[in-house]
Amino acid sequence: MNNIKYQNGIFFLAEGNQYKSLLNVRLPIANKSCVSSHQFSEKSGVIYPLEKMTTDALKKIFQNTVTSFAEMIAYSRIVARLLTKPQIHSVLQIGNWSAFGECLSAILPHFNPQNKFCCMTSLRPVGKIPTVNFIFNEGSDYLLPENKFDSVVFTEKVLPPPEVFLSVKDYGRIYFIAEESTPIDEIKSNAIIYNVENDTALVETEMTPQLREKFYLRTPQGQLNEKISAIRQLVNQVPIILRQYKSSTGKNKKSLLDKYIAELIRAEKVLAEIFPMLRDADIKFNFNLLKEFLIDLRLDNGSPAQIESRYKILAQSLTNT
Amino acid sequence: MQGAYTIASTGNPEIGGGWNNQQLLKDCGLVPYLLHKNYGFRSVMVGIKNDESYPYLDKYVCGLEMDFLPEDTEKARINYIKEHAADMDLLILYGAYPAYIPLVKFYKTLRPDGKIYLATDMNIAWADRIPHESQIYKNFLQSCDVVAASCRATQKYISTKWSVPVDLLRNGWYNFFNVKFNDVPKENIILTVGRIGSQQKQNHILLEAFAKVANKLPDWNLRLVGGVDKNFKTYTEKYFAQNPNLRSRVTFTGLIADKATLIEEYKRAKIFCLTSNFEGAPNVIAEALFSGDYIITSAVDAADDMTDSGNCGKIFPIGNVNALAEIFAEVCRDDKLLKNGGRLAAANAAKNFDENKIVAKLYYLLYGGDNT
Repeated sequence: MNNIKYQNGIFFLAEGNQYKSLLNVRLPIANKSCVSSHQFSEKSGVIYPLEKMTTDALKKIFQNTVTSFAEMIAYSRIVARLLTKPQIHSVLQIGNWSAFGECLSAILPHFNPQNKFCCMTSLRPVGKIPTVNFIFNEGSDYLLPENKFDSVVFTEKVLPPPEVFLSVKDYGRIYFIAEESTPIDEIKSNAIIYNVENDTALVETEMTPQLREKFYLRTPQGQLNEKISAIRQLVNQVPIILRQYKSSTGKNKKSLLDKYIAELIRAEKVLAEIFPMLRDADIKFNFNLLKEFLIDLRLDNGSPAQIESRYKILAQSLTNT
Repeated sequence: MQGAYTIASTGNPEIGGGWNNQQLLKDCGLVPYLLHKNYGFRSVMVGIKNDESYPYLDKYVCGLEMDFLPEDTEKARINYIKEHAADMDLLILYGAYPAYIPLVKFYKTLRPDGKIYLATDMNIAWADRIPHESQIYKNFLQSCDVVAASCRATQKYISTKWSVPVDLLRNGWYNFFNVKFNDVPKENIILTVGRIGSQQKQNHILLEAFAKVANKLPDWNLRLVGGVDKNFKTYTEKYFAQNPNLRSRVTFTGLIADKATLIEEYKRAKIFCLTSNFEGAPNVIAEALFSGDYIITSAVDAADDMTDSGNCGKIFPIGNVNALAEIFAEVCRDDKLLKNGGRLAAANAAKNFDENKIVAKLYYLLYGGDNT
């Protein structure tokens, strides 16, 4: 790894099909690194340098565009961790602000990134995101050498031949954050795996079979079981949450429920994603009931007696369905 | 101020590509109105101009705005979205119509940060006809931030088919009229409200069931409120020819356009009866429940929700005249059941059909709990 280039690097982050835009980056300034991302997994959080990657392999990595809430959270954490690294000068997200905006706005303040994150978009964001610089512009001004990358504007209007992207390797290392199902074999010995969880980099060839399993080679069924198991655990927490709810007061009550409902909504989206593989409608229905029950609680803020009564109804429904 | 835009689908036979005055007080008008009233949105309903005037805009849903499209086409809608995208923070869609697909795609291109609420308000038969396995349709559904069904049964059904979370947001009612349970004495009236004589409403079932038990219930009357389908008039003439003694007991009021007058009908009636062969979740039910009417309904998808699983009403098999007649014979002579059922109906309305609560839940699902 060329440390000099790395230290001066700027990471491009592009989500989903935004990679097409990324392909068009004709980096005008040397010593800029480029990171793109597709489907992120909190557990894997790997980054692949793709200097020698073929166009076909590139296409394979980005063939899907599905992004889930959980992935957004994972993505945000990855970004946040990148921002804390002293060698990272700044991070540029290209487009698709909305998908990650809320997650980032929640997470970034904890990492105090101080203007390291910059989002390029021609669309206005929703809400107040004090930690993010927004640059609104269209066109290709970003190619001007005097532009710092913090103020680069990138649009999707100029679509590129992939070869352009491959030429970027001349300017620095190219990294990808990819998910566990990414076809790692396409990259093999060229890959450097960055484990966001423990902030270590591993050369692919150094990975043990266990690590390989952990990071990206789990079978679909394994993933499915894991997700279902996580959701069941969440559902099983209901009595505990309700006990906490009953013993807490005022704002604490609401924030407790908000936190848990957010988890449920996140899990519900995971459920929807795995649904094609999951023909267990029972889980899904219980889940709906549970979420509604808690949202009703959250919005009504009922008396302890009402809560008790509702809980009994819920418990009965869960048993019956 | 955030903008919430409710765009009518093109080619929708029921709403004709736009909104009418009556719909301003149904869920499609109430949701944007309450987003405006309770959460400060600028709420706009968009479609072609179906009615000459919209008196409810000033009378009830003050602050709700309407924009009229020049023509009922996809192009007109695309142009509208293009023109208003900057303000369109929330796009509200009624009905899971394929015609919405290009609009959603275009909207998301311009406003990837924008939110979409899809109120499906569909029945199960309709859900079966939707190409939910097609990638285009999946993409459409996945673009929506909240996808809602209007009754528990439909929610359960489409949840097992669609690859997105489906929330329950019923078609509720907003109590503009300060209706209170039993604030006027109830009369021995069986009421139905809707497009009388339409194929969907199956009003002949109601008329025939009533005719079967009319002699046993001499102090009960039947009132059918709503515009009468011209093809149904032949049927009613024949009906009265066969049952001349019911001419004074069966009343077709015609369309009651004034909502306050219509509410008086609900308040007077002890029983509200729905005989449809299919329904999503009809808006009339919320109005009847708030007025404390005991509900008798055919087994449409939302029947359990309407009757609170039998607490405030009874369900009969679709198209079964005898079963309906038996229910009439039973409940009309049980004043205690009707009184208690009416009270429970009002409670069911307050708990499950209060549009304020429904919109609060929608807002929570869209934006989380920070501002509730």
